[in-house]
Amino acid sequence: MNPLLIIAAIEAATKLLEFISKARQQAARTKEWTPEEEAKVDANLEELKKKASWQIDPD
Amino acid sequence: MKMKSYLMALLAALAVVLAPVTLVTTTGCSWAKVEQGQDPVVVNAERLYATAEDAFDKTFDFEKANRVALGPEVKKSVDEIRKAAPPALDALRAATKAYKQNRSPENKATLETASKVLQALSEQAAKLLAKHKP
Repeated sequence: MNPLLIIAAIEAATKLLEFISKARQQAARTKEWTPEEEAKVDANLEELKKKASWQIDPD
Repeated sequence: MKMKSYLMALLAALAVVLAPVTLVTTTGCSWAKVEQGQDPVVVNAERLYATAEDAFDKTFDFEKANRVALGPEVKKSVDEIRKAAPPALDALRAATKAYKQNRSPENKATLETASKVLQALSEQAAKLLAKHKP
């Protein structure tokens, strides 16, 4: 089996697990965000909007 | 060919993850409890926001990283979500902030509408990925 394929599969699986873990944490939240958490969330969205993968590339 | 099968398997796995995430975070279908004294409308809206944002980020990253293998049709569909996601996230944040300031029935209705829009978009992402099951 191609070693590159194995590495890519491990990376993808790791990212998937991180995502599941984060989603579970968020879904388990039982309290409203604090003002500090809100500020962090707003700043994070502004950063995400600048990410290359969030841009619409020409076809 | 092996790479294509691998990508399709990953898409299917991502779809399996995204589908329950969107369900868990909807305002009407929350599995986690809310602490006493906390407003479930706000807590659920914030859950929805956080998980939807993360789901979009993962979907966009995945599509961009595998664009050649996935093809132009998938890009086109993901681009529609790329266009709609930021304003939908902004709208939910604005509605949540307004409701936290003034918990009026009008602000609650606006928050619920913004939640529904974002939820639909999350589901669109999940369906898109599910469509590409091998």
